[in-house]
Order: sequence, then structure tokens, then C-alpha cells
Amino acid sequence: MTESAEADSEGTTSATSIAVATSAESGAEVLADLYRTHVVGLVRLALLLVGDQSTAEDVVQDVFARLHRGGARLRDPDKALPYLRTSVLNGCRSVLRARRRAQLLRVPHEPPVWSAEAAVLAGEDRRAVLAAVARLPGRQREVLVLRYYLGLSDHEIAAVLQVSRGTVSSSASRALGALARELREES
Amino acid sequence: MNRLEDRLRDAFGAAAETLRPDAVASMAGRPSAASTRRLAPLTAAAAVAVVLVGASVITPLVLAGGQHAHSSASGGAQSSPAASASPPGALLVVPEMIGLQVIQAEAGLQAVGLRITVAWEVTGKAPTDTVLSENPPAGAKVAVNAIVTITISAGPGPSVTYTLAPSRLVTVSPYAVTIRIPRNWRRTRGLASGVVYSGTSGWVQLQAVTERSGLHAACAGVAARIVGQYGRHPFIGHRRIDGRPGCVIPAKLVNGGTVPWMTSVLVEYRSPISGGANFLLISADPATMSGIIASIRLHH
Repeated sequence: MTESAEADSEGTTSATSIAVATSAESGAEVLADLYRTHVVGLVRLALLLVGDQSTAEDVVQDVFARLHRGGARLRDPDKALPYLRTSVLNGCRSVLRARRRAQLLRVPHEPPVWSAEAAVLAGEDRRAVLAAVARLPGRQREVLVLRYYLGLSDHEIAAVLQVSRGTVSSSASRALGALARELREES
Repeated sequence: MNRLEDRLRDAFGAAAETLRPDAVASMAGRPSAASTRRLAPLTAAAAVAVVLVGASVITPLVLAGGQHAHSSASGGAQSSPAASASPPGALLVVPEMIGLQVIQAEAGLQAVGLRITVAWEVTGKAPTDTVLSENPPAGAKVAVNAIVTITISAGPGPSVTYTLAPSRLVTVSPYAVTIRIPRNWRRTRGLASGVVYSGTSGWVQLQAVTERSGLHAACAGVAARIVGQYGRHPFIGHRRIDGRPGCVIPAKLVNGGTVPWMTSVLVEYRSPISGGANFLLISADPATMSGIIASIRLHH
């Protein structure tokens, strides 16, 4: 909603202000600019998938650290934001995968923001919706977040997730169907 | 259905709003001096990530107008552009790296097309993460993609950590080992095999491992199989533990993943314990592990 509009306008701002990177030095500058511009939006995106802020920050930090280490030349700023989003989603997937394994060892992690324990999110209905989303398979959850949080079109979602548009629409409709069933049963 | 979509927008928006921009601002405070070598906005925590990322074999990401597809973000691609640029069979000269930070050493090695493994030495003689020695030595000629082992300083050692908290020694007789853990930890039954001790401040798990092909294979096997979350390119540091050959697999890795909750140590018994296992595997949260490593005493 307002957040997605903000992210989009920030994206274009950075696109105009970033000059073509020609050396490692200015590459780092470009990266730093991208970081300043997008860190909040990306951490929020990660937060919706992994559930807690510190893990979300870790995921985003890792993405930038890796970009920096790889000496990436961000010559095409238009592609930077979708690329960063893809990287963040991949990072979130790894976290969630590792958590499933870590559950075998009963390693605790922070309660998600939508749990009653965390007590940071007001509204029973919101918590129920987010908890139901968290129980969906990974790709369905990602599609919902990209569509209803970032407000991306199915075409853009397909690019970020690196899947076909057909996969995006079928994941979305399956996810909405499952949510409708589950939320009706709960309430 | 529209109603459901509105509920989703509202719930996502509200959950995202729980994170205030100023809460992340500390991540973004950055001096604008263009000369800083590191990306300055990274916090101390991220600096650790940088170091460990730097010490693994990673694929440089190039976002240049379609020259390289960025498929590597998934961790699937493992080609090294630097290495593949050199003709096969060419010999490379190992660069001088002593005194550099591990992150710089890794960048240098990668630039010439070599791979890197890292060993730690606990020492107060050089700052943490400084390269102490390299093998093969600087100037040696090696094949493209050869592995260079560098030994870096692990700092002056973890003993301080444990003088602060009341601790006790526990002997786990099936595994013939004694370790030091916080006094208020209890033995708990994990779902996984082995023996688990845990408390509010952390946890540790001990397991026996049978591996007949030697330490190197055992470490690689643990990283890949038993501790699946260490990723496709696990970062394995060889290190002697209680005088025995062993390895450390630290917590934080590349491959798009963060595994901040677990570090593993594998150490070889002098002879197989009853049951035939010849390695001891200790896994713990990273803070706990830094204290435990120095306290490990094998009885077998």
C-alpha cells in the first residue's frame, strides 16, 4: 500500500541518482547508496517471511555483505532492486529451511512478530491472518507477500522469484484458497 | 475474496510497520569517506559475516547489463569466473598474504584464480583475522583452482568468557569426554541422537561419528550430511583440539543462508570408543562453543 508506493518511488530516485559505476571504488559507493535507500524496505520484506527483526536484519546484512565481497558492479540500477529482493527471499528460504532442521535439536528462535508472545502487533485478526500465511508452503507465502505487501504485479513477482507467470498465478490462487478455508474454519 | 486480499494487505502492512525505520537506522549510519575499504554501513555483526563470507569460496556477483545472469543467488552455480578465465594447465604464483586480513587474502586469492581454506590459531600475537602463515608459501607455483591454506589469528583465546559465568565440568562417559558448561545447565533429551545439555543461555550436543576415511572426509561429511544447514560450500577450519586433530565448522555462511545458531567441532579419538565411533562431534550455539572448545578433554 503506502509502503509499496514508497519503495517504488525510492527505487526510481536511486536509479536517477546513481551514476554508471566504472571502478570498484564507485561500485562500493553505489552499493552504499542502495543500502541506504532500500535497507528498511528489504528488512521489512524479510521480516514478513522469517517473522523476527533480528533474523530479518541478518538476512539483509548478508545479502549486502555478499554483494560487497563479490565486488559486484551494479551497472544497471533498474535491476538492482529486483535483484536485491531475490537475494533476500533466497536468504529467508535458507533461514526457514535451517530452522526446520534445527527444530530437531529444539533450538529455540525468537517468536514471530505475529505471535501473541511477541505482543508487538495489535489485532487478533491480523495475527490470525499472518499465522495462517506462515503455515503456507514457502513459494505461496512469498507470492502473497510480494503481491499484497509490495504490491508487485504477477509479472514482477515472476521475475523476482525466477519462476514463470503461470506458477505465480497458480501459487497465488492456491494460497488464497487455502487461507480462505483456514480462516473461515478458525473464525 | 476481495475481503481476504484486504485483510492480507492490512496484516502485512501492520506487521511491517512494527519495524520502525529508525530501528534499522543504526545499520545505516555510515561515514561518507569514499576511501573506506569495507562497506561502512555494516555493523559489527555484519563485519563478522563479511569475514566468514570472505573466507569461503563464493561466486562473484556481476550485475552488468546481462553479461552474467545472476543465477548464483540461489547458491546453485559454483563456477568461479576468475578461475575459468585462466587457461587450464596454467601455473599461478601464490601471493604474499601474511599480515593481511582474511577478507583481503581471500579477495586476492580469488582474483588470481585460487581457492582458500582457513585454519585458526589462538594467539595474542596478531589481531583477530590476520593471516599468520600460508601454505603453499608465497611465491610457490600452483595449478589454477589449487587450494591455499591460510592460518589466521583467532585472537587471544576464549578463556575470559568462562571465568565470568559459574561453570562446572561434566564428563560424558559414553563419549569419553569432559567439557565445561555453565553450572545451571541441565541434561535434556533432544529429539536428535546424542547427549544434550542446555540452559537459558545456550545448548550443546555431543554425538559419536564413525568415519573410516580420515579427518578431512569426516569434517566434510559432517558439514554436508549430519549438519545439513552448513550449506553447499561449508567453511571448515582445521584445528587441534586437546592435542588431537580436529576441525571447526563455524556458524555463519554464504549460500544465501544465515545459520547463526550452530557451530560444530569434530575431533578424532586416539582409538575408536565402544560402538566403533572414532570421532566426537560437538555442536553448540556459537557463544557457548567459543567457551567449550578450550575445555574439551578426551579420555580416549
